[in-house]
Amino acid sequence: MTPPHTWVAHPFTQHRWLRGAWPLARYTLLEALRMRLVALLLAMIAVALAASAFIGAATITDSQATQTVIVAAGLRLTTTLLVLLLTVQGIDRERADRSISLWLAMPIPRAAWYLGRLLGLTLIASMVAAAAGIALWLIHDSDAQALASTLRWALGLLAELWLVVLLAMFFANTLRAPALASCAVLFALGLGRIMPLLLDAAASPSLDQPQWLSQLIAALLMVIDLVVPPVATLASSGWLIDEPVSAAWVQTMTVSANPALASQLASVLGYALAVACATLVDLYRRDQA
Amino acid sequence: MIATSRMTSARHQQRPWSSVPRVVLLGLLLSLAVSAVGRLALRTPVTRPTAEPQTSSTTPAAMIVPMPVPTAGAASAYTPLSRQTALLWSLNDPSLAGRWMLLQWQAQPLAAIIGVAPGSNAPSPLLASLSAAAQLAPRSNYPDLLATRLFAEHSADLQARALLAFAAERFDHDPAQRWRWMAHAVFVARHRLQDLRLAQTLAKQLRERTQGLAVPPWVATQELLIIEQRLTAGTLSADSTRQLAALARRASASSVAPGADASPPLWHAAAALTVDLLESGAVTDPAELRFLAGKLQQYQQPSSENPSQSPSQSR
Repeated sequence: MTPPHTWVAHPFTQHRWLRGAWPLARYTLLEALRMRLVALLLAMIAVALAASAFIGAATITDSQATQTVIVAAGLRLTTTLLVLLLTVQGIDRERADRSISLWLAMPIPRAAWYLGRLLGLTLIASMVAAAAGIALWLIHDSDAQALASTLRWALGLLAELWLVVLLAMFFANTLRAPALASCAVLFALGLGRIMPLLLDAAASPSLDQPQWLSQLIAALLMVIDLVVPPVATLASSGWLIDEPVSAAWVQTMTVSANPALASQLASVLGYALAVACATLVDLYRRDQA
Repeated sequence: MIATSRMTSARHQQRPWSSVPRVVLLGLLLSLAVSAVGRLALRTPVTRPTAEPQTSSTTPAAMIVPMPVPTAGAASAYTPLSRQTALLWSLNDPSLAGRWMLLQWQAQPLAAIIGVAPGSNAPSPLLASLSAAAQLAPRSNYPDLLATRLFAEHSADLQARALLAFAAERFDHDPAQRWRWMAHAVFVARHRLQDLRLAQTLAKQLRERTQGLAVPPWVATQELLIIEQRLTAGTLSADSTRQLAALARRASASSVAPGADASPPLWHAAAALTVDLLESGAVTDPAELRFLAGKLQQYQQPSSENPSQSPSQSR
């Protein structure tokens, strides 16, 4: 195999950490394409359209809204599983083939391997989010508001899928067991989605519960909330119908005027960076990857 | 690289079908056949109701098939999903949770829904569930449709009235989006509950809150038709009669010559509403304008002594 440093042509990859990352990203993308990712995405769009037709036949009013909401929720789940499996399977295969040992034996830092994989997988996640957005665009209304709402939803899904990639890489590297890593990611994502409900429930405990226990549970949940992925409000299907993009919405969404949006962006970016750093720490501390 | 080359080579290096032992192929086909036969045998036969014997009678009364009215308690009552449960199942997706709750209600047999007996003061789980679902999916028309068109038409009176009140409240928040369900609520009150007073109240709310909105002209005429029906039936209360008399005096002030009857007939109230409707500009359809003009002419020259000339009968 040709050493990765001879493939480097782009100045972007001249940094010591980034050296070798771009070829690995291309390799990751190629790997996914050879696993028939494009055909899989086309099949996903076709299934989404068929499911939409089925839902439309079952409803007696609000057909399009119901179709859009249910298919959006289904696509969110499907794309999450798809990206999760692609990530975990790819890393496991690399470990089984010992190609990761080969990569890390080359004169490149370990971070280059991680960043290369990450770049490739985020590109794949972007393709998956784009396919989901196209499927939803075909189902949703054709006016400008629906298009803007679909775009917003697809961007939210993209952010969620990037978080899935980061988490899956973390658990796949740390746990070294694909099934266990997949379960851990799904558990973290599910907990992240329902955490606001749990916090609400903890804030209004039942009367027959001792007060100290209620306070303990609430404090415990608040700590757990800090480590679960902030996916509760990303790509909600309500963005498409019940809270569509409107002129008033755009006005209120400027970061300076909307501290809620700023804090949400900060929490997502901060969480992504924290998971990436944790993965790198684990990667650097291991004797053998 | 190694992995991808292995994957591609694995696709192209398949051995031919002839390399598979015949006994394995035979076993595959046999097992598929046995599985299919087993599935077909297990399938529950669909029982279809036998056709009713044809009756020789062709009278209109014999041709009217009564609609089967489901009775309360005929099926086990449906326990709806709570708001929290639906949110948990949807992984905290409120739009999905609300619509799922509504689709669940749609899928239930009517007999499981109309469980509130007349006179019962038990809180209706249906209404609470519809309200919760409406909060989760605020732009959905499903709660209005289920309340007015599906459930109110078949429920006991008490529950039907509660459902109509629910629809009226939702209409009040968004008349442009929900006027058609309110129009159906008027229909249910008028024809299903046969409560003309309630129907008139709903129709009045419908007319007042849709002024200036892009709604069909017939929406505003509902109140008029109900007033006309109440006048014909003589079921107006004293208060309503006084209000309509005041309205009639206002209407006749400009059209009745001085020295004429000081207490104009109540039909003038209907005339006043018709004039309001025509002047509002809501009616643009020529046929509808002709119809209303004809009605106005009838209202201004009614003959209370001769029932055959009453507007309701000439309609």
